[in-house]
Amino acid sequence: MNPLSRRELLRRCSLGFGGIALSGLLSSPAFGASSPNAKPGPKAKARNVIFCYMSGGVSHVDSFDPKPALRRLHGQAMPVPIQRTVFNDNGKVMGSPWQSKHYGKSGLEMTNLFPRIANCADDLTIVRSMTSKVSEHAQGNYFFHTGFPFMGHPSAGAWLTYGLGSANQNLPGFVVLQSGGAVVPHGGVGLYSNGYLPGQHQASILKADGTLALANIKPGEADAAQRRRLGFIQEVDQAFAETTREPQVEAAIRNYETAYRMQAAVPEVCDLNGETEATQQMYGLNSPDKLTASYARQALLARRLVERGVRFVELSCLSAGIGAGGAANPWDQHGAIAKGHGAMAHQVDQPIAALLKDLKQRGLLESTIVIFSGEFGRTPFSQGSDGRDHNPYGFSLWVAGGGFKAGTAFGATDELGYYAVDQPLTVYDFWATILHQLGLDHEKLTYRFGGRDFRLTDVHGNVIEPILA
Amino acid sequence: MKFCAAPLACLLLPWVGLAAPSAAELEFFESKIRPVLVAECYECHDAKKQKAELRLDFRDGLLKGGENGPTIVPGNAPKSLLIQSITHAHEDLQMPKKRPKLDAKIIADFTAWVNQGAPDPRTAPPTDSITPAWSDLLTVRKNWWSFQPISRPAIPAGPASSPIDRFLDAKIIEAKLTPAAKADKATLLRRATYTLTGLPPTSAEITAFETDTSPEAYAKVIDRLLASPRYGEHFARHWMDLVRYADSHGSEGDPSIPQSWRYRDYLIRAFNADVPYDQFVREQIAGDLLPKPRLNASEHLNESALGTGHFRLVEHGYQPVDTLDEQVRNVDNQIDVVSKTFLGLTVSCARCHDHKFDPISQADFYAFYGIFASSRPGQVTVDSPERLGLHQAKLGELKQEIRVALAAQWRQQAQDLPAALSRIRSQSSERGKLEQRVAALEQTLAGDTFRRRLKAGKDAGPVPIHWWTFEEDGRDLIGKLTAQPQGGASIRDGRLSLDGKGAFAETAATTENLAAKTMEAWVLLPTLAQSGGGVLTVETIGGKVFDSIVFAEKQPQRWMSGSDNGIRTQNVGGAAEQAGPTELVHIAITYGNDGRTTLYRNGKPYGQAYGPANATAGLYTFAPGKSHLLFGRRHTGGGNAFLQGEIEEARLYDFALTAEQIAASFQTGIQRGGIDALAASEDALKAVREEATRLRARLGELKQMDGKLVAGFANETDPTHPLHASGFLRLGLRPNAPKAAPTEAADWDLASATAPTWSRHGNGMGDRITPGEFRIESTGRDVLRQLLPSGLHSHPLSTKHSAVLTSPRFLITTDFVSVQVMGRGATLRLIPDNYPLSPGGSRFPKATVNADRSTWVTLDTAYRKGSHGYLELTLPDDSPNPDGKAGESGWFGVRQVIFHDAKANAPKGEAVIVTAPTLRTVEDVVVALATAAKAWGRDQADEAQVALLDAALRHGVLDAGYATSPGLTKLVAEYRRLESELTAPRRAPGLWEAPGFNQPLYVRGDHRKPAEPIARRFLEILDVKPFDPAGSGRLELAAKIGAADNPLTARVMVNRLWHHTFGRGLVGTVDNFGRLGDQPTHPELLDYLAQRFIAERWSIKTMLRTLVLSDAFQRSSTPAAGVAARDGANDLLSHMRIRRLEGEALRDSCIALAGRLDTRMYGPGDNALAPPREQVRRSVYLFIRRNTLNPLITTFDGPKPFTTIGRRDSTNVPAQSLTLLNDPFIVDTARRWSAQLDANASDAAKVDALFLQALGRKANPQEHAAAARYLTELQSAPAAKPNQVWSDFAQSVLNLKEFLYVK
Repeated sequence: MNPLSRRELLRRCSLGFGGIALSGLLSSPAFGASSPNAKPGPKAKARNVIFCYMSGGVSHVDSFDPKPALRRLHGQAMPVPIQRTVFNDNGKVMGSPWQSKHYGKSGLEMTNLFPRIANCADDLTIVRSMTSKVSEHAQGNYFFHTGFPFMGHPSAGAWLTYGLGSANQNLPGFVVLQSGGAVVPHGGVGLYSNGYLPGQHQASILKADGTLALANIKPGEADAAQRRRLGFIQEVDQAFAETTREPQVEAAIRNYETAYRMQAAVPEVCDLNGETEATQQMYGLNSPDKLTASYARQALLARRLVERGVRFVELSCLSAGIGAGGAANPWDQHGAIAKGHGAMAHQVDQPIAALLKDLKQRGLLESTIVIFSGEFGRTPFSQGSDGRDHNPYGFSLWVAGGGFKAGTAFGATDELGYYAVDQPLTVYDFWATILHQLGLDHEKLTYRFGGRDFRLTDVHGNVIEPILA
Repeated sequence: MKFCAAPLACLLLPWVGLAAPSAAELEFFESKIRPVLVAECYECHDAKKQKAELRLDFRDGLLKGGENGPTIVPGNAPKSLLIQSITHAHEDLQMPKKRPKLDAKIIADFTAWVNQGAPDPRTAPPTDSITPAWSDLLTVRKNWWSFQPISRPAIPAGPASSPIDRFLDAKIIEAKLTPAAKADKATLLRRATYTLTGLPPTSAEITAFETDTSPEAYAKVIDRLLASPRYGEHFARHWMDLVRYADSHGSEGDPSIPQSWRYRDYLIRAFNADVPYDQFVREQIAGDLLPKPRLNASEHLNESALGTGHFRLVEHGYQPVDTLDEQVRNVDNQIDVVSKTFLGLTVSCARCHDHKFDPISQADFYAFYGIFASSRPGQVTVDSPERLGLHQAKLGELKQEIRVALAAQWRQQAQDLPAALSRIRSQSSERGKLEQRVAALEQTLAGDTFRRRLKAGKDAGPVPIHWWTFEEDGRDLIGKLTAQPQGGASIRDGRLSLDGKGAFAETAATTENLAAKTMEAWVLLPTLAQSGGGVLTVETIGGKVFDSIVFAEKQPQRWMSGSDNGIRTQNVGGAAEQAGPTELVHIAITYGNDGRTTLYRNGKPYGQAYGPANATAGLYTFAPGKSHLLFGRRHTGGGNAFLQGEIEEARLYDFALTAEQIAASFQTGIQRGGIDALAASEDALKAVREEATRLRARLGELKQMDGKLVAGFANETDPTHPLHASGFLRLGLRPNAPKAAPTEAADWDLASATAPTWSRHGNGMGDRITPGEFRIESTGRDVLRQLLPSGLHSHPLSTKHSAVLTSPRFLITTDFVSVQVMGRGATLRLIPDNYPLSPGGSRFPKATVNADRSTWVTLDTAYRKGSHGYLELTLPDDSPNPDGKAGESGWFGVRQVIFHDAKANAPKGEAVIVTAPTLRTVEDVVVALATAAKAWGRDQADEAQVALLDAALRHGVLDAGYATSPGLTKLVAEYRRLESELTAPRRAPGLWEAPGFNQPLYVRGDHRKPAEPIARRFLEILDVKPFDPAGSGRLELAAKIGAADNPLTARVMVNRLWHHTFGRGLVGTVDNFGRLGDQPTHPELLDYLAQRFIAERWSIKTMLRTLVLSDAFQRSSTPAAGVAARDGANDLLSHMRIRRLEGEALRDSCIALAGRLDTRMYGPGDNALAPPREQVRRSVYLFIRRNTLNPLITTFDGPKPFTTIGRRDSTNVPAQSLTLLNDPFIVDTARRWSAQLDANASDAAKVDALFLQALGRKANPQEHAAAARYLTELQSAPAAKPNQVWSDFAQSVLNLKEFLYVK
């Protein structure tokens, strides 16, 4: 981020705007200010994160943490006291509608809710002892994304780009994908905020199926016209920069070069037509299930973004509209969980399994961490007759790639899947571990705001060593 | 080695080993040195831990030193490692490690101490670690510069006239820097205008300043800017950054904060009125409690009461399971905002432990917690006391007189009772027959109406919401808006006939919102030589705003859409009307949602449809209850407003019909609404109507005589009837035994001494608890409807008042709470842990109160057991989370509360239990009623007497009508007249004061681990005295924060003003004056300004004027040669700092350049996500929805509303460039802006015009040359249109950095 010399600026002006763009590309290798406190160390195992966020809360006892006891006690009163629930409509113990079995060489036990992901068992590291400290969606989403259960703090993706810088000058470092009817989860766009970190770390929301992939990315004029415009602007700006000798003005001038390049780079990466028929099929782009086809576009685009150096990509589920699962919280099956979770699982199973395979076959899985999690799990007892309420006391997530010990499960909930009892973990522990794999020390990745040094992990968190390869 | 250091020291320093330090030396060491060593050094250098092999916990450890050698050289501070390391002069050692640098004062103390020879009484090494006590830490930390009293530094000598410049110049000269030259006038004007108003100067202002060569020209500009209302808007926005202003609570659902904008408007007015800052501070903390509130005479507002609104702007979780956790978060946020905003301190950091660096203990946090949590979230009444108390005394007197007169009337009625009963008996036969006959007739007529409606509904085509055919009368076939002829208008031959001189028809108030609509009529004009009459009109009652089908007002014989001051009227260029005197003309106007207006004549478009001419000419929404319809009159109060002609039929739709639908309607014609052929013939129907009218009149006469007694008599099977069981033998006031267990005494009885412990808010919350209270009806034949039992009742004088009742705070220990309430439209809620948003259900218990008589309501509180809570009774306008519609009036009363565990124990049945008198004969009844009436007239009635009177009233045995008594009639009329003059008070978010409680400290911040309660008080570093335990303590806190001897408040605020003026505070961290913050670059100047600020009665405008009139503010931003190398950060302000426009300023500037800035101030926020063309007010008026912030402002670093942000970021991100290059708002701005260019001007003149408006200056020759080249390229593009060329060029000007930055 050295200020351009005046002579250099003048030289570029004489080339016209395209020339500047080109020369801009060739210079300044590390675009984007990053943390002065934490540089990725040599021990970094991964460079990128793909976060499959299951907004609304996936039932762990129906997926990655099967509990035979629930079937045995099905229909009976809970044998242990029940904590306050969000809806206070607590029924009896409810066995899972799905069958569990052991998958892969590793023999990881899962249900058949996600059959294709289950077949990737040997690539998964399942954590079965996650906990959250809030049991409502917006706060849960904020807590999982930022380490604080309210707005204002930087999202994990922002911390990551702040810590690592960007590897691609033409694309934002932190991207949130949406498609179809997917929307921002409860809590709003603050979930993807840079918080108090510098603005470039804020997420850009890309539509994986829209014509306008990113707000204002499409010029309203032909390229030649825009270059003429930029040429004029540059010429007048240059004199202004000369008189002010102000680095921030120079940075603003350079900013236009980046913006100009982004206009080409974003449509290029979003164009999935160049992918082979086989790839498109593998992800499910042509699935008769419209939700699957739509989510598949996000999954495939996530791979393309990671290929191009985007640090953090978050995917957004679409709502199947079943059992209270609305657009912002698609997994929230307070009722009809069998139908609702079935439809939601069908939406993401093929695309995510394909993403794992695709990353692997391209050699990207080693350097990419794929995360699958919601904001909390669901109760082992029913809500009403056929739903499940929120359960922050114990739930599951899994990670793949990025130097994690594959084909293993860590921690455990009790026999009923109600509380994490063996090695209970917090979101702080989880992010501390993710940052660790990216070569960042979560205690050193700090930012001073309002008289305090803030972290993604607040004042908590321990790296979960046993799940590292 | 061990013995080396000491003997050496012995040689150098005679005192060591010879004598103990002197008393003065000892005092110095103990007060200045030892505490610092304990607090800052022992942690790593003591008996347990010796980093770098160094111990600092006894004298010889210090002298001996560690692996870097001796720590001190007694007598020589500069050579001492200790001093080098704490001053950060040493290359490697910077102490204390991982902590901010020590305060300059402490460093000076250490330097002095070492230079004195480092006298140190600590001869023996301790054997264990010494953990510093909080008092030790406090001793050290109170040395921090910002806690010292504000000094009165001498103003340095120098040629500059402003003391500010003397202070600045002294350092500039000392650093051997050359100050920059004075900025040119164009730069100066643009800089000052943006700094003070957030807007660019207009062309006229630029010209005026350029041509004003007087020495005072600049000062005049400053005074003009400070006097501009735009100043208040701009500085209010700065303040909104501090208090995380938002209009919604965020989280799931993102619910709106009712009336949040009133706090924003308060800020704007406060800054414009230059309210002294100490007053402003007190208002923000406790404006509702100030003994002498600041009143706004013109707006009749209590401004002070609005100040506490910021407490309510917290983010709220959605239906939290753990409401205490939620409260901790909210109060933590309030403490964070208040302490940062006013004190520049991070008290919130002490929630879990004593502050790591500042003299703020964990107890301080919980002292504040108790203050804020003792107050309750509410909507406060913000009208001036004069308006809140309007007529209250007089109404009270009248009410008493009415009571006396009515009591007398009732005594008379009681005496008359035997006669009335026999009269009723004798007339019962005739009355019965009449009633039967009238009922039959009503049925026939209703059937006719029904058939007409049915036919309309079945017809093809859209159904109007109102439809008048004027067949026999003005009835509305669909709705209920009967057209009532006035001023000589008549309905004959199926038409409304109008004479053009004063005849018209009008309806009662509308009951629906009318925005988009279609007005349609068939009209006959006997003469075309008339002007200005309206056919059909929707207007606000009184005629201020209206839409109307108007004939020939602006142009002869032309139809038009009339509107108030023609604001929504445009000439459509329709053909002149040529219809003959007997020819029906079909005329229709549609008003679309998009603001488009289209006229039709005889089914075909009439002239050109049009959209709104400007921002204020959009579609108007006529509110229900406040609007009505006119026929034959353009609007109420207009000249030449009456139509001469006949209206055959009229229809009103609540949407815009399409052209096809209008054409079809014209084709189908008027017969659509005609009388169904199946109905009775006209003559027969007419006869029926006439008979019905006659019979109704006779029945009315009969009923008039004995009022409700007739109806009551017919219903005497009601066991509560006073004349029960036809023989008048028994009066049963207690027909059903109450089901509540007799032992279940009320836990709280508001008819007794517990009432005063409840908190009453608003101007309409009564305080009497004895039986017999009543409310005077504001309309109708009756004085009152009921007498109220004992208890606390709202609205004793008028339902227009505001009223809230909250119970004492209690620990919820039972599964149920039963409350005996009555009311209309009220809500009873359990508020757990001050969480004010409650959706109801078992988790957030609440109940709607709609009962005329005292009734038990049971709340299921099991889910909230273990929480603290309080009960709240409100009406929608007073509720922070209203259930009902705004403006709905009602009332409530409460008598008793019972806490119980079993649902079966919920009390039921009669709520007011009194012993029934034994009344065996009618005479007994007469005596009992008369006695009760007499007692009530003296306000001495007991519970049983009030109950008897109320029952008698309910059943018509007594009549509360006033018509038969001239005296009562007069009193009631006077009461109602005065009551009608009352206006509903305005409410705003704020706090309801309640009895205070001390908050237990939470161990490590864990709300499940409460420890000892902490007394409410100010920060212990400033004052340890506990506040008066009765109230919340906010009033005392307000006094403490706003006190002139508070070292922080004035410093923090002048520093904020400096930040906004010079781009960076003298203390860079404007929200943090603690040890993690920056230290001031010019401490003396800061103190000088702070004391001057106080001396100049805390006037913000005066301070700003002083700042912007300084030479420093007027300097060029181009640094002199050599400055960059020596003062790269421009700490010394040898030149002005360049600043980027804030997001709001950018947006506002664009709107202003486009010529569309609507300077209308105040009121509810505009939709921040609507297309920009619809929102042309300043950005400060955008509705800030936490979950969906305005993207443009956010992109340019608009703050996220979560905590105090006194210093915004100024980032460079590609999204900003993409916005300015491609955003439709920018493109639209450029198009509108360029469209205003003088088409006949030369290219160069146009370029100059754009530069002048955007940059405050004309283009220079180089820029003209560049512009000419660019314009040539634009003009040579294929199919280049002149409009597009200049629009493109203008957009490029908007992309210039000089536009985005203020230099």
